[in-house]
Amino acid sequence: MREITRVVRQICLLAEIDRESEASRVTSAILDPLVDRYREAHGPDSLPDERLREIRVHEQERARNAAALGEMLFPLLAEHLAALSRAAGRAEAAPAAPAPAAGTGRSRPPLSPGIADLLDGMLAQEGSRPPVRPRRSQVKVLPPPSLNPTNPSAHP
Amino acid sequence: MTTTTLEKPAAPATTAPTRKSDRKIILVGFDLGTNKSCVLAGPAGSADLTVTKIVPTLVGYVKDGIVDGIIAGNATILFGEDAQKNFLHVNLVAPMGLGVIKNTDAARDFFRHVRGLVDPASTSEIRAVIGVPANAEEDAREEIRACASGVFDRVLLIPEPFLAALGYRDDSRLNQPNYVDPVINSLFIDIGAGTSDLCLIQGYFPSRDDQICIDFAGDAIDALIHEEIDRQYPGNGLSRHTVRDIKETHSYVGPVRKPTDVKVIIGGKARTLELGDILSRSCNALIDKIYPALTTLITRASSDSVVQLLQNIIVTGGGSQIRGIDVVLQKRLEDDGFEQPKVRLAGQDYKRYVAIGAHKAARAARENQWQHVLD
Repeated sequence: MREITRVVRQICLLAEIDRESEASRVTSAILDPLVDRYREAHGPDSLPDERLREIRVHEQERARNAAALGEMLFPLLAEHLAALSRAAGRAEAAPAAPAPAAGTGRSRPPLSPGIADLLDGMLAQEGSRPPVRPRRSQVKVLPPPSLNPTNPSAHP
Repeated sequence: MTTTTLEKPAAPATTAPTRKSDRKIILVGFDLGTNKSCVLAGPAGSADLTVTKIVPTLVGYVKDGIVDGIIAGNATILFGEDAQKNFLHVNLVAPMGLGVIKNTDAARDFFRHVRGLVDPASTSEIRAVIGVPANAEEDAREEIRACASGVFDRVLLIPEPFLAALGYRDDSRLNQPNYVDPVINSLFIDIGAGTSDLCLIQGYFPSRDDQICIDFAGDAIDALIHEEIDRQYPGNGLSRHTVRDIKETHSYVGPVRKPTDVKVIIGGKARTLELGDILSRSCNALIDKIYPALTTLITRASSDSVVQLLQNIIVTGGGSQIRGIDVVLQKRLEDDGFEQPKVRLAGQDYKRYVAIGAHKAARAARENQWQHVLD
């Protein structure tokens, strides 16, 4: 049941951030088979549609609240993140600019920033694929405020 | 996929970060292969690896009625080699097929096993970079994220050929003038069990047009060999596992090599089969599949970079162990007039390059690049 609730939550979140087609895909590819398996295992009355609707309503509410909180927190955290990134950039004192999109002609950047920049390219490509997911990327970039955003190596 | 940030509204603002910061972070490079997976893991902030493991991607669910003591610890689920060794007592399930998850429950159990390998106490924050086939569809990626949720804390899904290039890159030679960084200009051919992935890597993250994924690889060769052996030697009773062993020992591409005598046990008796033709036809089918994709990608490279690119074509994955594959591909390129092509094999470490690259990516990823997965 926990798994079903989790998947319903995922669907509600996808819908909340305007990724309806993905929500539909998760519904048909993951949730429906999961519910079928649950009913097969526990009996057809173990999970009535009414209960499923209740779960959905509850998770929709949670998703809505969470999205609202994310929207409120994002500007604050983005500001915090930018400040930390600027500080980290100074600390790294990288002599050259990070690897460009097509960087064959430039001197090679240090290993880690190079890879991270390449990953930026990957994430940008993912973000540009339809459907557009503006709010997803907003939420995705949020680190806990107390964590150093530049590199996991800074963690204990 | 979505983020746990949304999951935390109820937590007091001061407690969640504190609790998080108390947890040790383990970075995982995870090559989730169709037949074999490779896991590298180590603590964040260090290049040390505390776990280096290649695990057959198999889950064995212990059959009902097995008496106590037959399975070590009376486990109900076995993984990898343990599952293989106890094949009589378990229902073997392969979580992956053609490079993507085909059995969600088994995949999730396998992920949990991986988590157990890297974090037995289950107290750390686990961040995993997971390789996915080139051009993996969003559904396939979503499936991986779904299986990772509740198992790993954060993930990044990155195409396998790109990770192979990262893993293959010799970081100690980056400043040498004669060293061509594979991440700057190369073409990777990663021949796995489920898929063959070809990828142009030219200093930026490969776009979808830079990658071609072919549903023909080691498993398809096994199937062809098996079919032909069955046709030529009816009632042989050889298992797919034995056929795979035959391929791994005797496979080659290029002109027929005869005789290729292979000793097998059929019905308890030793027999020698002549498999030169069968191996030739089955393995050369791979060349026929990947060569057009190779030339397609070469023609997509810019004219400024293509000459150097032709010097840096690298074959990796299990398929790189097929004898003569580098020579045959290079010869075909030469015969088709490509300028001094050079096809190389990645070498004996081929099983680990994707995971090595994944671990490098995990170490380099910025905090904001990790994707949270729902619990």
